[in-house]
Amino acid sequence: MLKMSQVSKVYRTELVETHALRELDLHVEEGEFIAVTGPSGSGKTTFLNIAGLLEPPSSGVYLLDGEDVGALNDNRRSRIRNQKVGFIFQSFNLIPDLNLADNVDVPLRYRGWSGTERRRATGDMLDMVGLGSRQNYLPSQLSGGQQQRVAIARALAGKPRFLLADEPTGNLDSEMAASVMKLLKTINDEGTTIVMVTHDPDLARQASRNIHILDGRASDITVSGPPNVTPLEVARA
Amino acid sequence: MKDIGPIFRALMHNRMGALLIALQIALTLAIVINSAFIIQQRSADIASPTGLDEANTAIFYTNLFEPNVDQRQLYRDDLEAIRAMPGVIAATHTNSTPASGSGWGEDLYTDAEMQSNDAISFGKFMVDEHGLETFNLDLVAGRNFRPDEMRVRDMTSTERPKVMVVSQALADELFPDGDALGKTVFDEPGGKSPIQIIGIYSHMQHAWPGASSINRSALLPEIIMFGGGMEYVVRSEPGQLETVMAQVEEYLSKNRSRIVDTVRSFEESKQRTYSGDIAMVKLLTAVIVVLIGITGLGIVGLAWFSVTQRQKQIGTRRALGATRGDIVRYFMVENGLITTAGLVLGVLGTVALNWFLDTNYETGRIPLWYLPAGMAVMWLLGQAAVLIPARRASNIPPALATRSI
Amino acid sequence: MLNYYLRLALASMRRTPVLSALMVLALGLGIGAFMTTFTVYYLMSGDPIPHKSDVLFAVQLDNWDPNDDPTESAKDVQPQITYRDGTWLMNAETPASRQAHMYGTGAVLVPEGDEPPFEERIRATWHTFFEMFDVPFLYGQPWSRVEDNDRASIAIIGRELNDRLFDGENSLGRSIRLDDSFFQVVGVIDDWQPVPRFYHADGTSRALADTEQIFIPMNRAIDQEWTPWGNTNCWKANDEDLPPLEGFLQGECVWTQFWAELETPRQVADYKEFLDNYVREQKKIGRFERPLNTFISDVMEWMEVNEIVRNDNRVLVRLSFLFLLVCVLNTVGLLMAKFMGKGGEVALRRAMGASRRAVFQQNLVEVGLIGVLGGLAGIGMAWLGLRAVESLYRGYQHLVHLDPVMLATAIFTATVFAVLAGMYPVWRVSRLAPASLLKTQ
Repeated sequence: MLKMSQVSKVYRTELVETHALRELDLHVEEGEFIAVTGPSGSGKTTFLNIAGLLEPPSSGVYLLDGEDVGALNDNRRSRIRNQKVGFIFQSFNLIPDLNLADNVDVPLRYRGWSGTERRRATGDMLDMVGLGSRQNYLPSQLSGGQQQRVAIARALAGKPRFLLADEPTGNLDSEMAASVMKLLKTINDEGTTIVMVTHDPDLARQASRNIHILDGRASDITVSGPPNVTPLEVARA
Repeated sequence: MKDIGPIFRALMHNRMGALLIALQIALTLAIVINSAFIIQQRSADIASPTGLDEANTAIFYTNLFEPNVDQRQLYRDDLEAIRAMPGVIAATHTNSTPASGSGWGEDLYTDAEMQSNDAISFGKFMVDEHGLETFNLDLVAGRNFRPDEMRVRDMTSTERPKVMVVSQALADELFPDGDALGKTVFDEPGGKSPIQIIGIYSHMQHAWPGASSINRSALLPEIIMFGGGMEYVVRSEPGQLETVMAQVEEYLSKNRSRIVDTVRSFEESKQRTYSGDIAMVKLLTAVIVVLIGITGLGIVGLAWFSVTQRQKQIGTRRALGATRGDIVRYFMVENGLITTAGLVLGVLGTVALNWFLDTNYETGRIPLWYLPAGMAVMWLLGQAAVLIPARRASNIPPALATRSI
Repeated sequence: MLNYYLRLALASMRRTPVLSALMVLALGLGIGAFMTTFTVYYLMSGDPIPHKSDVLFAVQLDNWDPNDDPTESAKDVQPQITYRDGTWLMNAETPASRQAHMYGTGAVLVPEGDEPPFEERIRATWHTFFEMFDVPFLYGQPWSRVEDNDRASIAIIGRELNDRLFDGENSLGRSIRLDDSFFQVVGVIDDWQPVPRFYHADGTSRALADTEQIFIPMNRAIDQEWTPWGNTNCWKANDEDLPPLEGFLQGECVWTQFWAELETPRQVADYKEFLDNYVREQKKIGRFERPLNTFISDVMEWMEVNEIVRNDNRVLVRLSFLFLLVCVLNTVGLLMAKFMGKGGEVALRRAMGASRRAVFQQNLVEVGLIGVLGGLAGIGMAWLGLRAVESLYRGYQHLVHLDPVMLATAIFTATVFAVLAGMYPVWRVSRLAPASLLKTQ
């Protein structure tokens, strides 16, 4: 479903040229739960941005559902991002001035869905994460774990192709972290592809496959996973 | 448009900034509309035609101080010389000119029984038979004076002229049935001092702008010699006023028994009289321009600040799929809401201010169409102002959402 | 601590130069606009003769048309009186300490040398004028009652004219020629310009014009047949059996002004009674056909009656005040932007032990500094504004200076408004919990 080939990303300032990603190859199948690990500065965030179409690659090919999305203009990228990617951020990134219902329906507005469709999807999603009765609450009135749940509801509301999670439990205590991970696993069991970026090895172990990024390059580390996963490709060192 | 809901709700959590802009817009609308109205009114007054050929007329005021000069003969000699000068169309002596702030106002009675508080006021211009042409007036009925109808008033004699030529407005006020020509009116109550209306010209203002009687003027064949003041009005060929003025001044100065006190074009004289209104127009225009600038900059500034405060949010929206256009639209809608609220408040403020100014200072009531016109202008201003911060917001990269710092 | 806070404030302003400049500018514009219009208004409505404004009274007698509507307001009665009434009062024994009858006229002054003749305005009045209105003298002194009665050919001239004609020397005894007659200089007055020129109210709008440079005994001016140069209002024709000048002097036309000095309330009451009795006597001979309507107004009342301050002035003051409010709102917004951006620094100070109050005080000092700077900027703008006003209005040259009261008002207003504007942002910032601000965003 998602395939990056020889993807590189270079940031240029007046003084410095930074190669954040070097000829990275990566392949994600539908239904997988991938953990992308690596030390800080390794390029995890850059990978995340490119995978989520937040930035275009400097070179290489990024195929999503067979479409070369790396070369698209900003508007097209926004549209595809809206339809195919569900984001979950480390600091939740809920909009503080909006209530939960309004927060969840932000991506749906950019879809152009009708009011009825939006309300239904929002209600279903909030119910699913256990916050259906608090639609009018503000994020500041919830705990960290609850806020992340709302973010997950938001990410899923538009039925994206895959969830892209950036350290989803990074700002949560161990209890809340466990419950969020449980939720993610449930979602994955129901068929949603999840790509999770994390530096926590315990979390990484909960995914079916690990990809390790070091100095901008990716290498696969096989972990226990479901038997029907196809063999991995080994990256060029 | 249906996006208004969440935008409005979000705004409610950030009331202060929105309130500041809305209040500024409201106050600005009130000030701008009321000022524009005053400007329009005064400009109309200033532009109102006096009836004269304003660009080609000049006024000369002299003061005869030597006692043994035949003033009557001097008047004749002066006018003869002036009329002979090249470029001069007509010249007359006078006691006053339109829109000069200085003149002679009197009352007229249409019959012997009329009471003084019913008498009709008008501005009197004492000229000779060239007065009509000097003032560029066209007779719509009757005739001009003849030279022999002229009367002289000085410290020894009090002859009064028996005929006068009046403006249409004065004729209509005296005789609403429209038959003023040939009728006799009286300068005093009780049937005293009869004067016959022998001619009617279409329009000339008297000396005092702002009076409701301003269009009621009359020419009388009279010359007053109480003291040494001698005033002349000269009309020149188009474009020749400056040369004519210099010539006349030179001629008048040659006579050592008098001083030439004032040489002034009619336009300058009118400007001096209206200087208060002209000043008001200029000051209020400056107020409007600066005010709109300040409010516009205020909107730009506050919106810019708001964008900076919400960078993460904007990045998140972009990450969730908003295009650059969506972000711009968000800020335009948000600003549109604030502006509309400000304008609604502003309408109330405008009406209140207008009521206050009119009741206390008689500035006049604004016509209703001023309100939507003003609101439209302010609305456009507000939206134009927010475009800059909105564009800045749209340039916030979606990658900002993933930055942890 | 204040010094420390001031240094911090300056440093803070330097760090955000554009924002700080905008704040000072916005405030300065508002203050400048308001001070411009307010200065004109203040000077125009100010007391022109503070130490005597409550003992000098203008006299109005209602000798007007009986057919006009009756009135009880001084504003509806002619501001001038007839020559015959004023003359009678000057020659009568009245309860007033002093009285002065006067009118404004003019003539051609023919200098001695080669300088060409020129017109000069003349105030024709009695000897009492100078003491009543506290006119300062450079040389000589007022003439006396004797010269008034003798209708003497004398003149008192102003310093400007004295400089022009006699190089500023002591010109007592020299003569000036007005029209065809000569007048001996018996006094030279110093520069004297009451603002507004309240004594002249003759229906023309020359309250701001320069004072006259020549004073002549009124009787002598009449003998010279100098006609009034102000408004002459008549409701009735003069007696045609009399020669024109005599008819004019005896008639019901008003063209002279009359002032009385009344030093105690008792005197005021007595004088009013005296005037009423005079009118009653005149009614018996057929004059004063309207209901009894004498008015005496002190200087401030007189300025009200004559509406010296125009509606336009008041409108401009009001509008410029609203303009100032818009500028203040603008400043609030800018202050909000500034202080909200300072969250980190505030948290740091709080972490290091500054109390909420200390933070509040520090920020208030900064706001106060902005206010003072805004006030100074406002003074600069007001100065420019007044220059503009001076060029727009003829005769406003006496109304366009910033005296110490106005300067202090400007700075005070600016500071007060800045503090008010800053109240909300400063308060908000001092309440922010330090912990939440120390964590980077």
